[in-house]
Amino acid sequence: MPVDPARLRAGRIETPASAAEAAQVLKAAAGAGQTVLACGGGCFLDCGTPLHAPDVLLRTTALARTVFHEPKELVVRVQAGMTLAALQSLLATAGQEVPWDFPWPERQTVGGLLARGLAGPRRLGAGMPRDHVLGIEAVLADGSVVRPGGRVVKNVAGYDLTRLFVGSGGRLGILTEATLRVTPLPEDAFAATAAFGSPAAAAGAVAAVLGAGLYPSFVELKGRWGEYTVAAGIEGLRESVAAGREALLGVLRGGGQVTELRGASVRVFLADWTRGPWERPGFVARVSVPRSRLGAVLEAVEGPLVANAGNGVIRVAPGRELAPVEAKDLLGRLHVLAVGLGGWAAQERGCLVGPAAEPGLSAGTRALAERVRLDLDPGGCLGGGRRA
Amino acid sequence: MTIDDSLLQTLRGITGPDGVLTAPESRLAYESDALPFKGHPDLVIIPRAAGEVAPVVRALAAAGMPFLPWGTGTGLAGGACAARGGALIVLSRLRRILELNPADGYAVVEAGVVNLHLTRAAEPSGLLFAPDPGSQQACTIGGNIAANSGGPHTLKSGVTTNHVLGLEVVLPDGETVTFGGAAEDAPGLDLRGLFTGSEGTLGIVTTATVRLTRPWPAWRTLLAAFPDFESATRAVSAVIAAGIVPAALEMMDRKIIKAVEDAFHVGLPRDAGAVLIVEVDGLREGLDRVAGEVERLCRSEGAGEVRLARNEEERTALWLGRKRAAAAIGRISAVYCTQDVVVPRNRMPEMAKAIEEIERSSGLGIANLCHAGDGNMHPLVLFDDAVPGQVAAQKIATHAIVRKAIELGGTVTGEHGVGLEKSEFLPDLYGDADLDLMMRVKRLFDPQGLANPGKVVPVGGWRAREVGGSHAG
Repeated sequence: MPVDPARLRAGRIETPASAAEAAQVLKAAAGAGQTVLACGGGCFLDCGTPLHAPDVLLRTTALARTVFHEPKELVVRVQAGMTLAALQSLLATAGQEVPWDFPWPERQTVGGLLARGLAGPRRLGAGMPRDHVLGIEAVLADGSVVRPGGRVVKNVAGYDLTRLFVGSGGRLGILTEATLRVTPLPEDAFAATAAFGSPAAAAGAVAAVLGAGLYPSFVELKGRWGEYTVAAGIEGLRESVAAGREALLGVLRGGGQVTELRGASVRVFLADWTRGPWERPGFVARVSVPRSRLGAVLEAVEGPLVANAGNGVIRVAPGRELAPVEAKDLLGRLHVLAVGLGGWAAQERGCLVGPAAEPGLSAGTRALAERVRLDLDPGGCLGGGRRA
Repeated sequence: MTIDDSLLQTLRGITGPDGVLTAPESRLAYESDALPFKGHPDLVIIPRAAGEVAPVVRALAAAGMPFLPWGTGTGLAGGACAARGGALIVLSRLRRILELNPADGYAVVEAGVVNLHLTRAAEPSGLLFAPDPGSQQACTIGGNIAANSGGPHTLKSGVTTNHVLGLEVVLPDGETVTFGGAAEDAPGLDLRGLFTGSEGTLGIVTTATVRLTRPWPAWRTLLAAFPDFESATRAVSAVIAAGIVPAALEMMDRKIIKAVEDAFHVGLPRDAGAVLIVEVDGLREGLDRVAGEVERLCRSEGAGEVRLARNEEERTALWLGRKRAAAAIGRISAVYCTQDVVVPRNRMPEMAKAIEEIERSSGLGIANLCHAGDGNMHPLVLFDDAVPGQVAAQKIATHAIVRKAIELGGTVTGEHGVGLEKSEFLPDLYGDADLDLMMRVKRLFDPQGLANPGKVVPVGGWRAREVGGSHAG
């Protein structure tokens, strides 16, 4: 659920209109030992560890401009506060898009998405948003402004600092701009959903779609123990989508209640589908396993869950707040399950902090990440004073 | 550098007596990678197993001796050149494929596994390792990760970082850490992404979990001959602007065509000013329409002859010239230096013109090979280091090429890495805050400054060089 910024009880709200203004806000706040929380649409603001009332709420609503869009170069640079819907309609004028599907696109901002590092269903065919970032602009806690990366599609000049910021939860710096590699809109798209009554049948359907030589753009799964919906899509040239349609329906025929979607309605369906774990407040865990082990996770987890099934990423969302003891117990069990299958589990939203929230992170790696974070934000000002 | 006997003893204890080379003649083979500049490693260490790397690094760190990793020495930027001496840690014995998992589309490999060997091992399952640098028959996965290597097929499939799921890394103090793994969406910061492309300056990769890709079942490969370089680059832009993202879009200029034909007679059109190889892939249905559209766009930008490969044999033939280009140039020039600039695709004509002028003023030959779809140009500066003045002329030409790419909004290296030569250009590319952040990252990972010193980040930082700068360190 999008967080209503007004309910955060921030000490004050700042809406900088440039990176320089954002830098002033940060520098002043860090100097005064205040905490700062960056907020786009607030859609995933409650993800991560528990949210505290920040001293300063930095809204990116005044940072919503297009810096440039060069359709022939397949490149766009926008400010971080631009919404996903605005970005997609800008790109659509040139027959392009970013292959990102997220809930609440009218509120969801580019900066918020990248800071959180989430990926939508079409990550299977098109890669994750972090793979589409060519360069960024970010403001650090000391008020300096960095612009790592570039505008060309290949660039290995120096460390890949963009990767450090994408997915950092805003705790290393606040994103103010991003240069993105865009893709031509597919000529056509087709998706089908089908219902399955057992973990084995659902996982079998996922494996069948993946193994059918269809090169699906997404294979998703949703439901709870014994009641699953599998959704799969293909996109590309109209001839290949037409041919793939038959094959995909053939694979899903074993399921019940088969539904079909065509063309632009697939994207509408996906935005709706991705609300899944986020629609209701409460604890969300992410379980990652090699994709062929999906069935074992389904067997063991009651749900409700939503999965990027083709990627082996399963979100378990009980749909309510959990007490720390309960959350630790659930995450612990999920982690043991995932480790046994070659993966790990982590809290995506909930009350746990520190190693308990990310049991899959080794002590050495955690210490290294913490060194990076402390160097960039020694006063713990960013992220609204959240603990890792 | 004199080497303490007890250090040698410790190292031999770890790797066995034949794993430590000290004799000058045995170190000769490790003087330079594929950049024609020599370094002189004081010591060459060849671990037998991945687990030996950490104790080796610990021993070197305790002795305060700088070190750098070496795969097979195919790097084009001098990243593996021990320009400041120190110990070279050779990873070529770490060549086991530890796990090949076709069902989950990944492999776990040791750092010294050769790129093409992994693809060969995955082929029976219909999979491949997508990054395909020109040296893929010899280069290692560890080296690909260090340099974040590309290849002709990165336009659609991305560079190495897009195919790395997890790393096991020995940090410069000898500690072993892992980033990511076979499952996706690892918790925490993306240190895997930061580490990829860091050229051994943040530590050494010992094993990697990499993605295996199922190639599209159908492809169409075209070779189009253009009267000049500029019309070929216009065709590149036209194809991309039409919403077609080919699997590969490669370009060779007149000099390359001539060199390849003189050497190998593969049938490239000798009278062409430039040749494009365009490969589109996907499901079979609709692909002929796309290939037809590519042909139409090429012709409308001035292409004369357009050849379409009708089978695998003809496809191999069309690619042959491109694949042998570097070898062909090696026949006509004693030494050459491969540049790796990237410019926005629509600035390639300007870049080409500038390269022509630089060629004229330098008195050296410059031939152009391009991953044109990415705007990634490889001007090969031909020179003879035995001829007085040519090394200096090469450096001047190289600087001019790199500066022009920066001026056009591009970058100094697209896939080869910063290595020995490019760190001085980074201040033209990035602001002080960016350079400072890179320095901080380097110090956080490597406070002693022992890991491949002077690469990517200059010893002492960029400012130290500006003020008259120390190369000492």
